[in-house]
Amino acid sequence: MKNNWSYSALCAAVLLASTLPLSSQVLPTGIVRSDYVTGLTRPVQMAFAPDGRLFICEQDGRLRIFKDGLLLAEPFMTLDVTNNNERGLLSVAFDPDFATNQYIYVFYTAQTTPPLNRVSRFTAAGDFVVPGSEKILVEVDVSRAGFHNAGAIHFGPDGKLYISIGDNTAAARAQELTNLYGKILRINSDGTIPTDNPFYSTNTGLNRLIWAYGLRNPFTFNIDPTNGTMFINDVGENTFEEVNRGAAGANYGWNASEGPYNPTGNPAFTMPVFSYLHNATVIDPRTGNPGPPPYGCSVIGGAFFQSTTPKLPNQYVGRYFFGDVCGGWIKTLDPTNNSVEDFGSGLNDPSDIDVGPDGALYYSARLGEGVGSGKVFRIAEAGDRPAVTVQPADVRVTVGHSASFSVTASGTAPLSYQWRRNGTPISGATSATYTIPSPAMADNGAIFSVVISNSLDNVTSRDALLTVTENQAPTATILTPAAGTLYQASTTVTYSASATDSEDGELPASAFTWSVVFHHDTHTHPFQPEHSGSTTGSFFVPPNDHTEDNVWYRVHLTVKDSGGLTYSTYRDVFPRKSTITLNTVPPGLLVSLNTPPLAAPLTSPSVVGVIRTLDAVTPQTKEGVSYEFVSWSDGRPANHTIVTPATNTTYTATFRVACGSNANSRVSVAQGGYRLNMATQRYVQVVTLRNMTGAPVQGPVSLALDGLSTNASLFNMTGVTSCSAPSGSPFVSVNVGPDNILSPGEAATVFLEYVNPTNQGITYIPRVVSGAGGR
Amino acid sequence: MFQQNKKGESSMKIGTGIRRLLLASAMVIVGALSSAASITYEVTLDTGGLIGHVAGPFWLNLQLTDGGGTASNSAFFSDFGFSAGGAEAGTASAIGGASGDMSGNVSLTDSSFLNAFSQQFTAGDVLSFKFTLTTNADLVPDQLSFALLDSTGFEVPTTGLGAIGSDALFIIDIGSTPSIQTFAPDSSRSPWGGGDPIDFSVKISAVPPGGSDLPEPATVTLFACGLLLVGVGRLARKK
Repeated sequence: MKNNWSYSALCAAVLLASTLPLSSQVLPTGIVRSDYVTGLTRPVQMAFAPDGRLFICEQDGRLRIFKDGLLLAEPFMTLDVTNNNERGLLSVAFDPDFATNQYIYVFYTAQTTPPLNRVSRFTAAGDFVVPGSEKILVEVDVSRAGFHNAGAIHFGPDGKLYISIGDNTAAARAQELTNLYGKILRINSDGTIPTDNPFYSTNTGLNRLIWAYGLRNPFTFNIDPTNGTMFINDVGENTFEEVNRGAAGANYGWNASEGPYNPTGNPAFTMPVFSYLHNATVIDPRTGNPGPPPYGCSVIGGAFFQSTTPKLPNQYVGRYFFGDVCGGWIKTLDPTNNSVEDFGSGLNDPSDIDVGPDGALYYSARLGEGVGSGKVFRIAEAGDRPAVTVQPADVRVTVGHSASFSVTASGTAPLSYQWRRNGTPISGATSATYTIPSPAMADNGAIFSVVISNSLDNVTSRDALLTVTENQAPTATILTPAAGTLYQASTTVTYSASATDSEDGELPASAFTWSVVFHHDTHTHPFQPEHSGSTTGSFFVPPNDHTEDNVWYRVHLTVKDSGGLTYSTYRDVFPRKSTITLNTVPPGLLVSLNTPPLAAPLTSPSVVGVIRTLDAVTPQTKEGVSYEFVSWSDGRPANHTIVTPATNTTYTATFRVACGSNANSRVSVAQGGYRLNMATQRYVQVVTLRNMTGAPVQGPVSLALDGLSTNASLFNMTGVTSCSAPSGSPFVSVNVGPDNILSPGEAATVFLEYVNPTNQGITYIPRVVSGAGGR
Repeated sequence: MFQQNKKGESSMKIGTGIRRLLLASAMVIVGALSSAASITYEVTLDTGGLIGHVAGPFWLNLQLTDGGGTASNSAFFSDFGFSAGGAEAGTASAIGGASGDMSGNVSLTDSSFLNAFSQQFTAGDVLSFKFTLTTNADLVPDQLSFALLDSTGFEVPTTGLGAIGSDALFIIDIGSTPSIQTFAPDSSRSPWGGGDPIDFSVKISAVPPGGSDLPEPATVTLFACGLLLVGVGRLARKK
């Protein structure tokens, strides 16, 4: 199954941070990864300022600055954001003339009613924003859902600002040019609309901002600053992740296609330059079988590796780096031929990739939802002196409980470690982590540090304080929901707990910290951020977010006693399900259930109460016969939504053979004279059809003879009309050539072979029927 | 002009009043014909391939079919020419408004739906003739067509079968600008009468207005009068 939002990269950290060891990364020989920024909370996208500072978006609204080796304690600014699901402060970009005007642009979800995705411009004054300097450039209502939010912004070398907007879970909107959802927008830096936008002359209002469309959740994209090449990372639905080449006016096919699978064969769709399946069990609809790796669930990126001082081998210069959250890998794509090569794996749910002014590669990783768990990593060729990138933290433990100190360092491998206690080396303490198995009260107040060395140099970490206390950690019990409780959509789940501490007794509400994480398959989505001060809480299960069934909620609780010790637990709440089956009459026609069209029968387990979209593709052609939708068994239109019922339910779409269209207004008909064929003793009349318009007439083409003379017998008729009125008229097929099109100005002839004992001529009203379908 | 002469003799037995009436009518018809738009064509068939072919003897088949029934058209054929060894043969077969003989002139008028003329001939190297065709348009056009028939009475194969559904040599949909389609012999099919596919060619071209190849007015007038007299003569006999 597939994630249902764009940056699973961000939320996946909750799960993956505890399951993917940092040391599992694999990078090309001679290339090393090191921590660059630590202590981030829910980091999303980032950007280097022209002056070398790194600006990092924290989803909860803080725009952080990392400069001179330090993460500044005070954010550049803290925005009032809606931060649930995929919403929040998501990306940042710098004006091409930043050195002069100090303009900074951000994409965030404003805490408004309804919630608005907003792109705004701010003015910087050093490391802080100029108060009141916000200029709102674009706003999009995202009240429908907190998913498929998109949220990237980048300037192109043309000086225009490009913005990615998701479909906000209303997939059909991506194919419409009358809204901004599922689009790449292009604006001038002052918010006005560029007159050379591709739909500027054919669209109106803000819809003239549309630069490309047919996207689902283009959470990240990037533009090569040297030549304007754009790649768009579009997070897919159930099957494929996509990397698309950006082009003005392009339609990337969502929601009629996903990945390279274009079931309707629409030639107007621009197919991705690279795509990959979600896992080894996902069926590639093109082959009916699983496909080869790579696998993943949420494509992110991306960065064109351009630098005058590259810290990666020259072979990577010009390539596009992108990654996957669940896959934990980064790959490179050659824009000249779309070839893709592995770069790194085990890279811990990357969420954004960038190239630093020093020529190294950087990527952000959420690594959990906790405060300070996020990081930015640096990847470069080895050869650096050792440096501490994550300092050892102070540790507080109960006497007798183990205490661990850890450090993260960069530099040319191999690195060696020597921990010290109060300045004295500890025998055998030579790894990145030092653990005291059972501290005694005598250890209270001890100072620990570590010396890191390589062949070039050594460095000593900060001093970390060990506090040993007799205080005992508290315990907590989640009372509701009870284990085994099932939820259904559009209902409210309440939770409650109690906690006790041997010293404090029953802990007060202020000791409780809750959060809720939404799990989908192997990744997670943030759902309810951490909040404290209550022994109870609740959340509403939205009916229109994820349509998959392999989902559940995990309610996290952490309690802290007055001595600062904590205890954490959680309760999983799983969904109640039923099975939805889609059938067609006749069988085997294309329908969809929040998917690209597939041949019926289509069966899908579904969470009770979740809104699903049924779509009967109409018209459609199967085995050369065109069909059009008649009805669903529930009496609703071809495309409509249902609320997943509590019991297994089958919906049947009935089709009929579609009728060809009357082309009399487009095709002229010239009847020739009659001639007696001496061999057959039948008369023959030649009829010439000519396309009189400037547009092609789609075949097959038929000539129907309405009101044909009484007593006339037509010998070469193809059939009798029964679909389009009037019925009962004989018709003959017209050969319009192998392209099956009567081009503008093109003529085609057909002869009528008949006998008519009453009157040897025949009279009739010619009717031209074109296109697939019945006659 | 076998039939014309025959009908002309009959007309000598009618009274003076009727003769005056006929004269007046003939003048009207001649005037009408001479004032109606018409085009003259020359036709040349290379019939060398027919000489001695087992599918022979061959017939020239001319058809004039009535289209929409509103407009009237006629075709007047003359100057039949046979090169050395060739000649018309046998008795002409006429249906509807067809009359004449290849030894003289042949006329087709659309007085019936199907108006057809056939006559056997002995092939020389070339068969040529001229015809003058009126050009009155109709919603469904009148159609003049030509074909060669073999000994079975069926058409000698041409490429017309695939294009128009019959083995015509050429067809003309009559209108103010007649539409002419010419078809080559079909070298892939043997004639119904047997033997190898027949190789021959046909050429049709319009004679420029005022050119020497236009039919003689006197001939046309005489032919029209003859037709009229034939009709009146028959009427007189019935009385």
